[in-house]
Amino acid sequence: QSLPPKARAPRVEDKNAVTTIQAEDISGRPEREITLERDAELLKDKTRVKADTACYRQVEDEVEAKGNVKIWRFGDYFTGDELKLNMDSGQGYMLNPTYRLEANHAQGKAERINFINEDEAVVVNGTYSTCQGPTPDWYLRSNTLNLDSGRDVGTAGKTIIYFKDVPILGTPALSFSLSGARRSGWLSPMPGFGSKGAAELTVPYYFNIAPNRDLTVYPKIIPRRGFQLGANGRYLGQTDGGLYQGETYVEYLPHDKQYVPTTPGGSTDRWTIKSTHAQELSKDWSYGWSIRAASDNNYPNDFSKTVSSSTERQLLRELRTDYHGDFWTLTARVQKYQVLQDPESVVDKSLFVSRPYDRLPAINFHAAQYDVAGGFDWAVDSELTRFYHPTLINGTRLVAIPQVSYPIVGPSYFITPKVMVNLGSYQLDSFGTQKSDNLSRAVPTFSLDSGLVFERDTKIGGKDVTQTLEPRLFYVNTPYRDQSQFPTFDTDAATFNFSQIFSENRFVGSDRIGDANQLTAALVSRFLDAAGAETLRLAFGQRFYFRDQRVQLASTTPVVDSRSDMLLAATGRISETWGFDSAVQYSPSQRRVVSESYTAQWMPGQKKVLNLGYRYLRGSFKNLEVSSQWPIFQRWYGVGRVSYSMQDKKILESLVGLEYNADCWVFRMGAQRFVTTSTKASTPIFFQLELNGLSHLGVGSPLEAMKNSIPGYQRLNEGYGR
Amino acid sequence: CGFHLRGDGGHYTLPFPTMYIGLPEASPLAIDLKRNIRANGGTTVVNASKDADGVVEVISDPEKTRTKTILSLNSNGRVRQYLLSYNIVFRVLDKQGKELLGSTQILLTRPIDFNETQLLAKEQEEALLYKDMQTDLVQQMMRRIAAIKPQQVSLPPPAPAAPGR
Amino acid sequence: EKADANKPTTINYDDLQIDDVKQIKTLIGNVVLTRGTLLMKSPKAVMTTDPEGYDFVVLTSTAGTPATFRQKRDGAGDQWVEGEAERIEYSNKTDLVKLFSKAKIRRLEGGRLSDEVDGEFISYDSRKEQFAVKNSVTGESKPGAGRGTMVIQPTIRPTAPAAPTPPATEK
Repeated sequence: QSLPPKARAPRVEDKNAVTTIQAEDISGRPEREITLERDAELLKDKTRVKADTACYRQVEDEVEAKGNVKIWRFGDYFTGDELKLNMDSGQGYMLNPTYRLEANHAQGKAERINFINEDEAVVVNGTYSTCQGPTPDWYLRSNTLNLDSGRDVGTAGKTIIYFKDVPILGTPALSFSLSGARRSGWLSPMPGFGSKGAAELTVPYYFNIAPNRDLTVYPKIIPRRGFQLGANGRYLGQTDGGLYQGETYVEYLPHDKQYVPTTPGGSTDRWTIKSTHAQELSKDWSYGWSIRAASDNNYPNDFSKTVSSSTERQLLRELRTDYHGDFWTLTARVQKYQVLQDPESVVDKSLFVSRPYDRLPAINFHAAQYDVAGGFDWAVDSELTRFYHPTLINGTRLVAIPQVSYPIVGPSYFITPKVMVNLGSYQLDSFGTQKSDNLSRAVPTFSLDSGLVFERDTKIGGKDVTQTLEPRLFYVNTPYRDQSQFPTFDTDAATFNFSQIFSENRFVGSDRIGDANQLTAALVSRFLDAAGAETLRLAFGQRFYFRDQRVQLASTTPVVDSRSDMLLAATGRISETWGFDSAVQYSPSQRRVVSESYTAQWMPGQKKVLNLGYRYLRGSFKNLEVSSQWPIFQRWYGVGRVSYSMQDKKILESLVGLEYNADCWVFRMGAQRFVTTSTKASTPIFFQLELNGLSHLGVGSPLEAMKNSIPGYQRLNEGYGR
Repeated sequence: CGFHLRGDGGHYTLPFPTMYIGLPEASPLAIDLKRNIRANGGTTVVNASKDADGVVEVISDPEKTRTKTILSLNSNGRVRQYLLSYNIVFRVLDKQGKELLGSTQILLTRPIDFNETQLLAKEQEEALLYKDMQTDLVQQMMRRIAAIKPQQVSLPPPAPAAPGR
Repeated sequence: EKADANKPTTINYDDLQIDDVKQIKTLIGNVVLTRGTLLMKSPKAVMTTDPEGYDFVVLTSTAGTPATFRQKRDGAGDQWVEGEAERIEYSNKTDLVKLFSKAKIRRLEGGRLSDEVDGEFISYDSRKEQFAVKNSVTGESKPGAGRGTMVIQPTIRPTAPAAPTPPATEK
């Protein structure tokens, strides 16, 4: 059970292989010692030695060779002046050798190589590089270099890294991996610019504790703030109960010189924690936690360098346990939120970060069986939740939703009548002027879902495809029950999209059960190629209301339109290079578009992609996006992304990058800019020199930034480690 | 315009009398896939891969590779849309381990609007969207498996047209 | 074996021509020379005896039938050496066998081949059990004149002398 390093075939030599010796002059005593003169060669299973002179001791299975010695062994290749090798134990040495390893095609030369066993060799005063040719662009020189292809580990003593013969880095000890897998030791230092451009330097150290445990420590110096220590621990394991795994990241900076505590004299320690853990206690029972917390509201602004971390202001702490029966599951969760209020919200109310309800606890029970008693499906979903909020009404809610349906399914049709009841009871604490109260409700719902599937063979883009035409009708009838005095703990209107137009309730959450007498109609057409893959899907959907919708979230005025918005969608990959995705929600009553999104992807070849996107949601955003990875000229590649808000006429997010791909190293540089508040933006810059198979030195993590911002981005040096 | 109802022996019957799904027992995808295979008729699900004619080997389990990335920001730098992705890499082998359907990736994505004020509701909507992607994924997997040409796979006589299943 | 050194030499042949003056005997047809465990055969042989009475034999092959020799070796087990060449020279004074052009020597143990050497010239000293392979028919070692080859079969573990070779053992 270990974290997934690359599997490597064990290096085993067949002790009973035939040994073939050739030379111009062979003499000696068989089974004792045989000397070979001029053009000597010895071949045994995975080892082949050529030299001017050699001698072979058969009993010890040992070969000595002198004079431009060449040896091929297990895919590695060495040359040198003198060789001594015991093929039984794999031990021996070689004088002023050059070597080329099978892993990463690494090569180098040295004063001496000591062979420890089939997998391990120690290179004395030697160089190491993954560049080919006699003058490698970069190489590492070290007094002791331990190459262990068995465990993919390479550790070096006092080491200097040369790039184009210029020493760019010296470290007391450097560990690197022969093929990108994990290894203990100092990682390369990472100078950088914090979220507000403050200079910083971190020199991470990696402990490869065990195949299934590792710890990375990030000591970081931020001149303006102080000394920060980060640590990331990962573990994976097995008990007799079952699997467990988890990861915990902690960052701690004592006495931040730049931080003004909210309460005078308060602590100026800054920290954050992010921890997940999942463990199976038995085949059916598991538990886990997911904890996120930070020391103060300014933490995201001061310490985050990526878009995602700078927008996380509602931090969840959750402890949960799940139990699976054969057809039911029981889940108990405790959830608490920490809100990092945006300091700017004091000025700009629209930036206020709302605080969600805590669930202390929430117990869910779900049971379902299919094809019971002659074709019936039944299911029960129930939840007991204690909602807590510092400033809003608190209460305990019990909800139970039993449902029964009778699906009639054939290859070309289905009809599914379903009956369900939503039983709910609330115990509300006293709140301000209201005293504590008990409320309950029972809302029945009947629904009938039906659909047909038509098919025909046709052609698209010259390819034979099967086109389906799938009409579907979904009728829902739910009587009106006044729910205006029920609080909305976890409920909101569901967005109107294809995933949700076929659910019975137009609200998400259990505090509102929408009254309904409505029919949802949809038509989907798919184009399936010979292998059954969907190359194109067209869809249309609309809902017809036969009665006004009286249940609302807060307002009491019913909504009276007889027809819902129209939904149109088309998505597909109609050729090897072209793919697109589009969806429109059009409101006939207001005669305008509520939301639309069009994206197209053009991928004409390797490392060439162009994405275009337009996304609009009324009253929220109207963004245009362009992103691309494109070869510019010979080995130079350009990377770019712009996300422009047409509504506010400003660029929300942009990224510009250049990459140079040499055979054995990649240089990346560029800058990213994203809006953090209405007036402020963060502009982390990155430049990085990645020596294939060794490590990467530089600022920031450009690879992740590029991968996340450009769909279809391909890494230039595929196959080299992380 | 050439459309006809999808016939009984149409594109939807599976070419394997017995099948095995290489996913953990409690995984919702496994439960949904097994239910659809049983509902398809003519194919039973077995618990051991050695007695299955069709073995679905899951190379990358979608439950473990779910991603949620930021899709759109508003002018205040707040997230207004996430993109949820749910993808599987699987292949189908026969009893002897010969590959009938090579390594196939099916990648599904759904955008989800977001607003800090609706965090708990969005959490449940996210679960609904993943459930919807899972159902869509099962349909697409069934079609891919049904499209496997059964060279030497033997089929039991078609079950009588039972009304329900 | 070393014991062959003090064994009588007997030679059979079809025809014999003797030149008493130069003490040269020429034997033709199915020549078979035996001395203890040493056995040498060839279609034709010329034998000269030096003043001290030591014999020097040159066996020559004709097309298709090479001159051969076979001798038991000291040491445990049923170990034999056998060789063949277009011309073999043997002197019972030095007990040295020299094989010239397309020479081959095989060592067998219990009927199983343990190693095999071939080259243009091979000399084998049965007393010291030493051999040498040269790459020219004259017996000198000329640079760049091709190479001799030796193929050594895996040694049988002493624990199972006659058993088939044990499977490849993990290191």
